[in-house]
Amino acid sequence: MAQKPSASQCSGRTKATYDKQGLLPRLAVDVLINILNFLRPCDIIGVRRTCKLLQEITKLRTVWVNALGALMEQHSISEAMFPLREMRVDILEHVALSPHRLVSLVKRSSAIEPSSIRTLSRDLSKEEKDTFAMQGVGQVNDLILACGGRYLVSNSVNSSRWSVSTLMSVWDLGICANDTALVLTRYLEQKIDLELRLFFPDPDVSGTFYVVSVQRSSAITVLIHRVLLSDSPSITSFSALELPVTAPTSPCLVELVPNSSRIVISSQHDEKVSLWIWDFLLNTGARLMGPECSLFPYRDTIMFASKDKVSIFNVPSTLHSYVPGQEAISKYEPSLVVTVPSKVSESYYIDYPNATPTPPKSTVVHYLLRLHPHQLTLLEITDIFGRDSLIPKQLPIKKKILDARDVRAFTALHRRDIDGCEGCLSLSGVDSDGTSICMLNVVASPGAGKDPKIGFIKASLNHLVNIDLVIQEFCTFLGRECVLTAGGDVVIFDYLLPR
Amino acid sequence: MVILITSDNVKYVVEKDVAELSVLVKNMLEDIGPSDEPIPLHNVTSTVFNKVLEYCIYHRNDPPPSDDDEGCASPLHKYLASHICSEWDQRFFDVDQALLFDIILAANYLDIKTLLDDACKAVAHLIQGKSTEEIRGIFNIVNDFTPEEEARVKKENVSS
Repeated sequence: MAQKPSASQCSGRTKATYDKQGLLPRLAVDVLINILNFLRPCDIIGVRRTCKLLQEITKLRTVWVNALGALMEQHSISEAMFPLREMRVDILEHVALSPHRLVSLVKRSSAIEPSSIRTLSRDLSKEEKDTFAMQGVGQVNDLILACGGRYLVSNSVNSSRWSVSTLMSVWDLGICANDTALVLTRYLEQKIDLELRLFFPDPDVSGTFYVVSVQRSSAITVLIHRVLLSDSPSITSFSALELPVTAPTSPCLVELVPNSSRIVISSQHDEKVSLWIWDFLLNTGARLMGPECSLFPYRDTIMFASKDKVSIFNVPSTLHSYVPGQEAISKYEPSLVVTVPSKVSESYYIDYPNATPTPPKSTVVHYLLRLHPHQLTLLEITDIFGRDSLIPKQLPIKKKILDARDVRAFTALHRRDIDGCEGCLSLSGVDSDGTSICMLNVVASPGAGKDPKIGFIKASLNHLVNIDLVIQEFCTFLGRECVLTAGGDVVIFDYLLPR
Repeated sequence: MVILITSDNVKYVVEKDVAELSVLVKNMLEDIGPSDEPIPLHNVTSTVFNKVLEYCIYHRNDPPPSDDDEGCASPLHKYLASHICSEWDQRFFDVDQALLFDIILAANYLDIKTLLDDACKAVAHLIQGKSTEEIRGIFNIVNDFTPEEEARVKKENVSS
């Protein structure tokens, strides 16, 4: 069959070389690019090393725009974080390969060291001093990284001012370890004791982020601040929800329903758990009737983990207008309750999409891991396509129980330290001996119906052993860690450098 | 009905909606208007066209693919789609490599986007998780790097 070796536009090779080569390098460049679009970044590197022609094609900008674009969509990272159209191709490649490089690094090293260490400035510019009537940022008491690891919000309290307030600062830590960390904007919130909980992009509006914090006084108040990353960045108070709870000191969990403006809030007092779902853009809400729980928004369902069971709610498609101060508006009962015995009620859920083809079913199998200090339960989640709204869209099936006693990091687990990348789930936490990054390596077995293999990989972060850490955030996407030390310094450790 | 003639002179009588899954054929039909003239497909042999036709008949009622990049062709959808392969599609692409590449060339020539994507996906499946040596082996790729160049390529991407 006649064919045009249009790949020749990328290489000055002769016809004789073509004839020797196999079929793959003889495809048209746009077809080769199309094939690369279906590959993970590390597989693209595998292709690069095969021959000169494919090496050239895997260096094309469009290949890495697509590769990083797919990763960002998977992790719900907005383009405000990594502007695909403006980034240099080597930086696109660096970011797209970062999750893979970090996992490889942890796999082959018992200890990893940072390639770059940056400490954020505690000074205010003259203009800021005038605006906020402050001499310095004060004592930093909380920080949160947005998914993707480029933007950071830090809260500091300046007690020298006549009315005590919280200074919220938005930082751009840059894409690469050698970028300068810049403060983008600050906002003086006339409240104190804000606990930063979530920092995520608006699912529809590029360059808009929201910060969710919890404040406890006579009641629990959930505060939303809006961050705009335009030419003149800003952070402003956006919305607030006061929860009518009896004990403001009770545990309060806040989670985001992925890619939405809906947050799920649970608070516990004695044996009673109160659960709300709140759409902060529309200011509508509903109350969910759940058991004692850890909660986990899982795509369009919410799962509640209790001592012995998992309750699954479909997120109601319509919520009702919320009137502040009013008790529950609508109550929703769980759609399904699955019994998963466990020794303690402390547990966390992690979603892990199976990254290999799963014949013969035309569904994507996801795994959900339930963790607690001694035990790990692997649940396989199967999508159910049905019109009946009472049936949950995801059905968990218990697959495997693993002993996790040797993983000390588990004891210090915090929900937002858990992230998944490249078939690994990373768990980072400070244990009694020092600090380590711990990853759960999930290898999906080829062939239908077989259980995936799971095991732990772990690397020590020895440089942190002698630092008194207050808060630690590890972003596995970029291989970046932010810590708040007892001395009030915010230090950024980057473990990967661009090549 | 549309009459199509492959490069080896085999005549096919195909229903119009099936034939029009090929943008090339669709455009040709629009250009020549209502006519019984057979349409020559210069770059496709009957062996390959049999497969193409099988695919088009099976997928004739699928929703048309979206053209814009933000629609269903977004990178994630492409990535996820690469992991969702129906049983039928898997059987369909379970062919020798030469035929798989011929299907790609035919889909590219006939401009059948879904077939091209699905065939590219099938090639991606062959590559996924394989080492460079294995990829060379699977596709019979000649290593044309000098030892120095090869060492440099390896060094550039040391942890992959």
